[in-house]
Amino acid sequence: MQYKDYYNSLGVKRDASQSDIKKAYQRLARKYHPDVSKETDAEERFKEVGEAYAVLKDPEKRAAYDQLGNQWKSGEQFRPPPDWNDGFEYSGGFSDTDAAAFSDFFESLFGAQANARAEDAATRFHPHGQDTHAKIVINLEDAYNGATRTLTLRHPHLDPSGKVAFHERHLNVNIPKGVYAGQHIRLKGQGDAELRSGQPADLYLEISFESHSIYTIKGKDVYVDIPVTPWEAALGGQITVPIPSGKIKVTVPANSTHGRLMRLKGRGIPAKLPGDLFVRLQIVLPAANTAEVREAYENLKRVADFNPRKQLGV
Amino acid sequence: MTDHEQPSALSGELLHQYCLSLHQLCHSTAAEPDFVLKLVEYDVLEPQGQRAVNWRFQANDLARLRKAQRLIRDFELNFSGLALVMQLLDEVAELRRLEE
Repeated sequence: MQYKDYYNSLGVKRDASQSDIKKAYQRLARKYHPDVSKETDAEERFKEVGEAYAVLKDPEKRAAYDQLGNQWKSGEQFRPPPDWNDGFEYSGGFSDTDAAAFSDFFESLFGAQANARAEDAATRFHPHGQDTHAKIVINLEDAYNGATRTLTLRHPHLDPSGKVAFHERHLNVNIPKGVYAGQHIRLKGQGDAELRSGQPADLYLEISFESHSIYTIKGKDVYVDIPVTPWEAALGGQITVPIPSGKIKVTVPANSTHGRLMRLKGRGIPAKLPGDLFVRLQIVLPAANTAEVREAYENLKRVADFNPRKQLGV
Repeated sequence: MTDHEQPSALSGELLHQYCLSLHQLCHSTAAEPDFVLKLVEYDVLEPQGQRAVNWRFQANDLARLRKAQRLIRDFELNFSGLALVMQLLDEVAELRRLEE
């Protein structure tokens, strides 16, 4: 087991006052709380900060922790001294933070109280019949075609000695055609079994999409940027456009401008009321890197009489 | 403890947009009805229907309610603070989406 430097986690000195500790926690919580943070390692960091705060905010736990001494380094192999915990009384076991997330280090120091209060801890994880909620990440293509996805769920539960353990469960789930982000699939009886009555709860799966290299998704609508040549945009004509379920021919109107948005009704996500597919034209220019292309540009320059900066007054 | 053996894939029920009653929402999240009433009062949740007995919540409100529970617990927010935070988070999410 590795020693954890809780003072370091909160970025405070060992003699920091309770109000400094609270301030440091609040600041880090604003930065790393998974509901508000954009940091990639937010969840990990917030757990670390939450665990440190659970110990240091409580004067009894802090005193017990301080008693270990300050010669330990974070990450160092650690075993609690045999007389650990002598003379300390805690008012509560786990704090109100999600104790299931805390480290072995925390468990070994403060776990004894939790054991005594296993019943309490159990109800904290699963208040009566609480349904389970998980996110499932799919591809846009899955929404067009339907798919089967395997999902791994980790459930905290209490082992016979009252410690928190996790067990993994794998579920194969059919993703129906036409789903979009934010929708939910309810799987009856697939939630965690309720600890007291053993009654199974429901599992709610929230659909979300992996980001896609070509498409962007907004609700049921799908957007795609399509490069076109200057002559396709100017003269109009048929082009082939990829869609998540294959490809489709689209007619570009003559004199289309860069960025023009074309709506293909009902070609978005095939929900009951299907979304639309929006094609955004991106005009790209061939490089003037041969004599012929140069000549063609020169000709265009001569005949077009075109000043794109007219509205800027120059 | 793992069970890899899954005979066949499970098919769930795809929930419609406004499908959850107050009772179902509370049952699913272990929230007190009074707590949900407060969230509605402060526009954090916006169900369809005039009176509480007729309210229908979106499935997404399950996630929203849990987020509200976490924010209140971890930042010691009151309801008007929560409403402001949720609104700003929605705006930030929208802006980030547009930026992409």
